[in-house]
Amino acid sequence: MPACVSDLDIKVPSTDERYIIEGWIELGGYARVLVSRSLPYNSTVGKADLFDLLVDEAQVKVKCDTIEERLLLVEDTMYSILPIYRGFKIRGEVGKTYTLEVKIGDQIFTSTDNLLNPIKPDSLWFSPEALNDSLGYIHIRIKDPPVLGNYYRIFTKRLGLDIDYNSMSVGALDDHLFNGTTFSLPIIRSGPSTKTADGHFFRKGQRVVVKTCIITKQYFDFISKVSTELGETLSPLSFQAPAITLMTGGALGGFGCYAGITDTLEIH
Amino acid sequence: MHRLYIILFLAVLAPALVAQNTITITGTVRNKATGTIISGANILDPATKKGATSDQKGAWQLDVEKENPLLIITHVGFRADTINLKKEVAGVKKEDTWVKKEDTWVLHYETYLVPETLQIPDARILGQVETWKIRNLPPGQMRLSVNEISKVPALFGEQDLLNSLRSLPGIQSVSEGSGYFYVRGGNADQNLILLDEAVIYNPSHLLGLFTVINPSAVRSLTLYKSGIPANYGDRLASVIEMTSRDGNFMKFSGEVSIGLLASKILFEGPIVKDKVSVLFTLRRTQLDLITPFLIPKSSIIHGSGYSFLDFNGKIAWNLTDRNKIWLSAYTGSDIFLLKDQEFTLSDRISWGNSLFSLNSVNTTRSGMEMRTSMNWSGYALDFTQLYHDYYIGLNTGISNFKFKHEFLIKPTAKHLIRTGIELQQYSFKPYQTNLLLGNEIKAIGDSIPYRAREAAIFIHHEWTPVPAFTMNTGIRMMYYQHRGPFDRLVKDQQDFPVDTIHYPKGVTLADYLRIEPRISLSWQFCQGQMLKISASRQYQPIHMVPIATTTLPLDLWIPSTSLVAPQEGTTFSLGWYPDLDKSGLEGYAEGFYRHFSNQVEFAEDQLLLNFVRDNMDRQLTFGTGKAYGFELFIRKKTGKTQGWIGYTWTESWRIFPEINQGKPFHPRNDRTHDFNLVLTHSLNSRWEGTLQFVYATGQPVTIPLSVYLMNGTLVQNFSERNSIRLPAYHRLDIALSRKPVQIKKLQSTWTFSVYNLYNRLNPFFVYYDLQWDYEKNLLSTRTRQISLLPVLPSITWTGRF
Repeated sequence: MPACVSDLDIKVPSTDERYIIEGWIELGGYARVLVSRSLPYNSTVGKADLFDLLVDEAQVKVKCDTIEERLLLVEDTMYSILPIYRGFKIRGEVGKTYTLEVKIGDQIFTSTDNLLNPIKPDSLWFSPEALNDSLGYIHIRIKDPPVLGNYYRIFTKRLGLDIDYNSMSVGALDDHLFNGTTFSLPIIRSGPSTKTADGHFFRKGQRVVVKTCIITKQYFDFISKVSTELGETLSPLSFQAPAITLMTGGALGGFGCYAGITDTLEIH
Repeated sequence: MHRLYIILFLAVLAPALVAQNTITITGTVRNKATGTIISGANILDPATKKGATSDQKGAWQLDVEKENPLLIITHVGFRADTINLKKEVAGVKKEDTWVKKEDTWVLHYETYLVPETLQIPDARILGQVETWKIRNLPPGQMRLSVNEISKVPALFGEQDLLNSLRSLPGIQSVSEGSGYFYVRGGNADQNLILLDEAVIYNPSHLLGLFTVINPSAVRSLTLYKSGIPANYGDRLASVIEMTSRDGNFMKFSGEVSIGLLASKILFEGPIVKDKVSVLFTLRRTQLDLITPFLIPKSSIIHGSGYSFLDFNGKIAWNLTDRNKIWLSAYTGSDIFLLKDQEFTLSDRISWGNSLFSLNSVNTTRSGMEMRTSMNWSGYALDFTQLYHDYYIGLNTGISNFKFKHEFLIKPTAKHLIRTGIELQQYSFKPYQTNLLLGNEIKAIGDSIPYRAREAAIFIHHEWTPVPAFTMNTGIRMMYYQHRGPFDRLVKDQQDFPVDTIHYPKGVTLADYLRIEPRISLSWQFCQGQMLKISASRQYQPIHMVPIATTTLPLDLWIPSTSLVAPQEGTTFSLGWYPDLDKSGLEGYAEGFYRHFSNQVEFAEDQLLLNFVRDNMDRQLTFGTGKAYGFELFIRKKTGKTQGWIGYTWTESWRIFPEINQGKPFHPRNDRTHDFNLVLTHSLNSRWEGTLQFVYATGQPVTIPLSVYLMNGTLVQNFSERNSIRLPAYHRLDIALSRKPVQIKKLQSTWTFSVYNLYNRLNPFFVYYDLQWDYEKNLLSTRTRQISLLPVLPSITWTGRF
């Protein structure tokens, strides 16, 4: 059909600035929290402007059992181009409950999550792409326990190429689809490096670390909504509802616990 | 409330008991050339200006004064005919018969009108003959003849039923290429679309660009926007009743039409002359044949394409003058293929409606009519995605079997009673997902279809005590059951399914008894001034829940269950219909108010995958709605220049406690202003020009107001539901038609048309473009629109033989 694409000439009302809180803790790792502000739509923002989004005056705490730790603002380019709040004392442990508390001025925002048992994948393998056999996908096979509640997030990192882990293009996997079965999936690479010629594929000769993480249902719902909205930017099938937040107090975002296990695949 | 129903019920029946001492003439109007009946013909007594209109069966009835000797019968496209009563009473004309009605003999006339075709030297003659008048129709009713439909400029030269309907006030679409239409602020699923009594669930091909029913196969279309008679139920907003066309009873003939996007063929003729006729049409798009040339092999989407095909067929058998039986069938299919070589991805979406309808009409010598219909109709959508060795399949659908038996009794010319029963059996497959897990395909979601059945009895009475006053009253009682087999998932507080309760076949899981009263009045209160008033309450036991913001056919039908009550709607309308005959015009101004309850939507926090891990009816949230507005309509039906202007002002609201934080919001079909102009002008004896201008307030949408950083990327924060208006929708279409030219036995017609003449880029859908340049660390966000239909010239050739 002879479709045309053009900018939409529409007046968008100004909206209140919201605080955005993204926090997580991994099995064996420390808590990390990015606190930022939202920015209006229909705008162009450079790197310098991006730093203006950072909220650096927040008091950020993580609590576990009776222990409480105040996080410090540090440069941590592996995780964010903006400085993030990081812990140095409380580590992620299976079965523990963690509460994030962020205080900005008089406002307090909190979110709580649990760290579940990790699940090790059965196997990883590579399959070449039809048009170019030096490129292809990594497949993962997982034997899911017959108890509901194990929601998956899978990340990859190409050693020597990627700074950080990138989530597979499907944000998170619903346990209801796989509960108690042995299932396999292709991992479609995502993240900024997909802008290169390799696109969403992996290449023969690469060493790839695959991190399989288990998350809770509430965090799965949150991440799924975020991922869906990312997909919806080009989708006519979107729900277009306000964002889900796990934070109390009016901020957007949430705090999640990741029970991750890593495996490395050498692609031959 | 029950006392009110009893009073209404008595009001339905009581006037019928009043007998009148008048001379009654009845008749049937047919096409002389084909033997088929003609509805919408006007029968006029020039002395008293009293008149009648032939109904869907071509039948009419009129009380006349003894001293008035003449009746005139007219219809667009036919030579006017007359009945001389003094002459006919003597029993001269062989088509006339005496029939006995309530101990009184009345005259019955079979009138055969001669078509005006090529012999007419000047198109103005056509204009002098007028078809039905809006004033003569019951409140809220509009009709379109195929002749009128053909006057509206058509996209790609393909005449279209829905596009013609949308040019009338009160009928709105969501956006360019919208697959559904919306009547007086109602939802898309609240329109009952019938072809020979069988339901059509999805009315569109190709993202709404074509109606699924080929207009060549339709004889007439009647729209009820309010005051819906009691013989129709199950929908809140409107009824669109299409009657299929009989094949030619006299000779074989056909029609071939070749357009840019679609072509069709029609064939009709007698199996037994003057007794049994057959008609079939076949239509398909050429888009799938063109697409391979438009998408080269080097493109990553090579192999993608779209096609549609539909078939209409009808066999009609005139058993006797008073008994007729016909079988009509429709099947249509759309297939959309999307291939992505980069991802080794292959998507296939196919959807379509099918229906079969067996109908009979039997008229007794006393004039009582019995109409029976048995029909089946269904709609199904299948989606499959192949990705390497991975497979996902989704399917959804609805089907129903319906039996309807009704009586039309005309005790005198002042009374028409319509009563009967309707039985329906439904099957719903709201959403089933199949996943290939290992070597096994696993079905997830509601694997057992929802089953329901419904019984309704109705009585409708039309009473015209004096020519200036008509009252329609009716009542419908509907009993609905959701029945087993059914699997109800039991979930714990964590929302995990912990058990399944199986209900065996035949067990009633939920039932609803609903009573639906209706009343409407037409009152000519002084010379030429008419008021029409209607009020009705209706219930709708089935629901279509939209999940798409565009017109991709991913809407899911679900039944009422123990968790989902039938939709309820109350409608009021008040209209003023002045007599503008002297100026060659007709028109009306009408206001309306509607209230809806038990409206359904998916809950805001429901993700697509949630549908497959729970019963569908537990994914919904419920609310209410209201709509109010007024319509203006002026039509010129005579002269070289004819056409109409329609304007609608509407406000429509929905309130769902769990959506939009409980604040009222506009549905997507809310259009404050909606204006339509349709003009036809006979340029000379050979050419006719047509123009259509459409203007509508922009569609309300939900758009992102801000973005934020999350999970290493940008996420949008959306506005309140449908709180932002897109730019106004408008376009101008023109068409130039060469009147039929006879070349030996072939009658050739050319139509040249331009859709969207000034290339207005109306949004088909809006999307949000977030660009993050990782190297420059530059972020930009833009709101963009895709316009589907820019200026589009087309040419269509039609040959009749």
